[in-house]
Amino acid sequence: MARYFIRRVLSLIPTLFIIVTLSFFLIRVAPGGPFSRERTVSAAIMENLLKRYHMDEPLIKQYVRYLGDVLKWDLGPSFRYKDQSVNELIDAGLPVSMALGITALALAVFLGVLVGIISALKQNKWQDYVAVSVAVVGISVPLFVIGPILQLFFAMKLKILPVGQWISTNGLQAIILPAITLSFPYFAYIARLSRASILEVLRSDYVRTARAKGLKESVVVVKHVLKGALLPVVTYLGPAFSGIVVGSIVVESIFIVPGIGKPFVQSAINRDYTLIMGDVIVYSLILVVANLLVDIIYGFLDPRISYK
Amino acid sequence: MTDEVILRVKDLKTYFHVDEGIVKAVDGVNFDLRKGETLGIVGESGSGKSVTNLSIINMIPSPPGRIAGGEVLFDGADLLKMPLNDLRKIRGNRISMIFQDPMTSLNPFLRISTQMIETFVLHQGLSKKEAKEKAIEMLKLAGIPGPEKRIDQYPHQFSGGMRQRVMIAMSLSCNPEILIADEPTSALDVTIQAQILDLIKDLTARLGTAVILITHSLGVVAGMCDTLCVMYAGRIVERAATADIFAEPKHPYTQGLIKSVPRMDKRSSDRLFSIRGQPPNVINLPDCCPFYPRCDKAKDICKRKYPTTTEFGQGRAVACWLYTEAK
Amino acid sequence: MAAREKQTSQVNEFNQAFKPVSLWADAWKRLRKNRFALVSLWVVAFYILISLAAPLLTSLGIIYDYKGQIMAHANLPPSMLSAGEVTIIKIEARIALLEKQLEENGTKESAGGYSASTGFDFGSPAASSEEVAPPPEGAGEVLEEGVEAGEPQVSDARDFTMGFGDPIQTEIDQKKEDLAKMMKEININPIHRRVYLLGTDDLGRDMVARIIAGGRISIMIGLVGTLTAVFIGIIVGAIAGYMGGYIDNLLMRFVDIMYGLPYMLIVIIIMAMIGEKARGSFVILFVAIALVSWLTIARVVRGQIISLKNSEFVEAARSMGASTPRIIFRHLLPNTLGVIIVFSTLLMPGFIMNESFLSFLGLGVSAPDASWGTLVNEGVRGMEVRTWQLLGPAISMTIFLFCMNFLGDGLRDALDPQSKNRT
Repeated sequence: MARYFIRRVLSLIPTLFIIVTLSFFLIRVAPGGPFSRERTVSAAIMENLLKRYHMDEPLIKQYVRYLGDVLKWDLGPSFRYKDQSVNELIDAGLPVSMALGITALALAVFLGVLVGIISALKQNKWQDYVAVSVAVVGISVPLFVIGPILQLFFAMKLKILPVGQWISTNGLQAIILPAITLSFPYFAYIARLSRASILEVLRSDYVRTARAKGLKESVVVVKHVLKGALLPVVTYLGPAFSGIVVGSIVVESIFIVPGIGKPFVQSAINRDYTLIMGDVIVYSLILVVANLLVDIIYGFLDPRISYK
Repeated sequence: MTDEVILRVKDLKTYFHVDEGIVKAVDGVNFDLRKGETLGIVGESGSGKSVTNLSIINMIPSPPGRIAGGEVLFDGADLLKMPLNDLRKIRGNRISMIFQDPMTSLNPFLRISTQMIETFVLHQGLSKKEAKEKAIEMLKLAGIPGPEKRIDQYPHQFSGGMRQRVMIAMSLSCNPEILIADEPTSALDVTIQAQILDLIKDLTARLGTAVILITHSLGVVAGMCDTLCVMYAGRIVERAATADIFAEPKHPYTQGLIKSVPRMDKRSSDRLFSIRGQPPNVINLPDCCPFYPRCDKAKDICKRKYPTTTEFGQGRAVACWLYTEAK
Repeated sequence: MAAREKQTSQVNEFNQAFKPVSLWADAWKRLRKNRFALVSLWVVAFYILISLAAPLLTSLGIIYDYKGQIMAHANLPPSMLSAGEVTIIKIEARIALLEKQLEENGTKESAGGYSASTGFDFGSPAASSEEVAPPPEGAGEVLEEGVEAGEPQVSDARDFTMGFGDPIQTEIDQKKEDLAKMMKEININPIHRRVYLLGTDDLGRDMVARIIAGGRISIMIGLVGTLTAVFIGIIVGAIAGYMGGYIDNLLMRFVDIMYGLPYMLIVIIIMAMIGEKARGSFVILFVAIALVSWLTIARVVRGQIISLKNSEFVEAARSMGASTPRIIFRHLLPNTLGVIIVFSTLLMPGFIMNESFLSFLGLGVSAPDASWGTLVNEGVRGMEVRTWQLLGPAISMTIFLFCMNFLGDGLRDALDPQSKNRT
């Protein structure tokens, strides 16, 4: 078991490394520099700027220097927001994004599994059809359609929920709409996944054995079916979280949530190198750790792995 | 084996409704099971043997299958008409079943102890501690070494043969009156097969359990069963004591089966015998003897009507036109 | 002749006639039974047909040119009435509203409730006016180069000239002028006879035409992208699966690593980095999205090939001397076709979603072309008052994706008899 952990942790490192390197060079390679949008400055000032940000050095040297900084967790100054460092910017936005992301994931899993169980047990009856249709809708409708529509409906027309902003300005209700929007496609997928998985397990030989032993159907489901059937859902948590991270970029824009997603795209357009890199590193770290956690949880739940 | 009949299956019919038509998997099966008797049901794949068994304890998946008729009389009640709650008290308790593939028949996510304890707690009302002790006893009886430690393990830590032993132990836990064994050795290595069969024979003799053993292998049947039912296309075509059937098989199918078993005392250059043709696809079978396309002795009437059953007394019966007229 | 006849009505051992059924015929029969999937199939076919026929329909005048801007027809709501009439109704309604406000102002002193929104507004009075109130800060706008998202974008500047002559009265007068002009024009200019079934956008372009054009692009991107991804995936997966050994390992390592990358992030970075001009090129868009989509197909194909590799018919082929590529292409792939088709139909909506995601962020297709993503983006901006601009494209897109998903499900059930979703 310990070896399993260690192997998983070690595999993080090359992935992270590749991401950081890839992003670094991608960004530098792109046309236009971070200052090309500024009001035109004199050559002398430009030279100073470049020197300050070490951009006069050869690319490889910049790369190595950057790696060193990252290991010290100094993500550099923002190119755009002159008086703030990337660390500060990220510190401000990260907790918000994390709160939103985790809430959305929890919603997706909880509701998804619930709906999946109900529709599997009531297969082909009306509850099943409704659930499956809702699930397909969830997978088909993009986030940036659901978000505004929910906003339109609940915030603007019905006026029962705030249109946007965050908890600090509007109280706890502010998290409802963005979290629901963000969780919707994943809730839908998890519902379908758990439904299919439960149905498959219900047909399996070991459930047949359980029934032949005279166990009540409710006991069969809770004790014998659920554990095995929900394993695929655990596996899906990794990609789901990944999707939520990406989706948060859009949701934060729509609902004006002050996380790190909204400025992410902006910083790419602005060529704010350090901020982009900082964001990429943080996102990748989150994703990679999340995947690791999922693997570990899965390892605990599936006895076939634990005791290898 | 006594003369007391504990299970009587009368005219059991189980049909499956699929897109292409109706599959009459079991179409009128009759047999009696006596206390302590070991009854074998032999047939090729698709003959309906497994479905018969599942029907007895009413475990046919309900779409698309349904039990279309007949009775299964056990202890004065018809199991097919019994409400599920009552039936569940019988399953695992008075009638137990073990299945073919031990690799998939145990829940891979639960420990063996959990899976065995449930039967005791459910049917005998024991506490978990008492149940565990009894379970360890059963495992020991089933020939599993070191049962105190192994009982807390997971199924994947056991080999195939071991798992089947666990299944047997589990099924005999509550000392059932009937054990239904659905091809218990088909998925195992040949050397293990013999051990498992011996185990079943031994334990059921000791506990006085009646056994319905389903298999496609005549060799298995010869060593284990008192009585034999030969099934073809959903019906029993011949029924007799094992010795009688081997000595004097009456139905052409039975004769073919016995002839197909390679014999050690024949010359090795003789070609192996196999019954020509294939087992039929039982969808929308017409009214005829389903064996006639493969039968050397088929007569005209065989193509037009299903043969009536001829009883010879002492539990011997054949469903074949050859014998109806003779009598 | 006789041989062919025998094939269609074979007889089994009981002299019952039966028709041998091929895999595809069987699957088609099963698909037809699934009503949802069937309806979805027709809907998808309809969409594709219209998309293909769009240029033809435009030149025939059945649908309007999606690029033509008619400012006089800007922001008209959906209606069965002709454009001219709708415009008149609109102007008249505005005049009535203004006159009412003028009355109310006569009894009050304040200049009305236009509150510059810094936070959000629960029911700001601006919401009741016909002209759009600036949406909540920064919501759904195209992020423009150099501009901080979040700076208030006041698209309609209100004249705060209090005390210089009532702005409301000025507007009333102007509107009445417009009205008079319109009434004259309506009979002269045939253009006002147009009917905008789904309304117009803020540049006077017909929503129906735009949605169709947007659909055309989105669907095309989806189709071509999916085909590309599938093509690459099949080749990689087949080679990895059949060759096995270190080639397999290498390729799968590669796939694993790519799988682990937060690719959408990278795509966003790529698209953002590329200058405006390059962004207009569809090729880059394809490449960016297709970059990762082929992974799943590769894995699936590889899995299928591995499981089929050792089956008997392959051995038979090999014993007859078939060469490796021949085995792969003529024997193994046709058997995996079913799985590939299913995954493709499920991949396509994903592709369209990704593209529209990028477009929504302003990183995808650029003006004057439109895709569903850009349309929704534009629609969001005015969604409170001009809901049709959001709902039209949003619903069209949703229906298409919905049907594609249902179709994919249906195909999967039809082609895989052991599928879990069947009874």
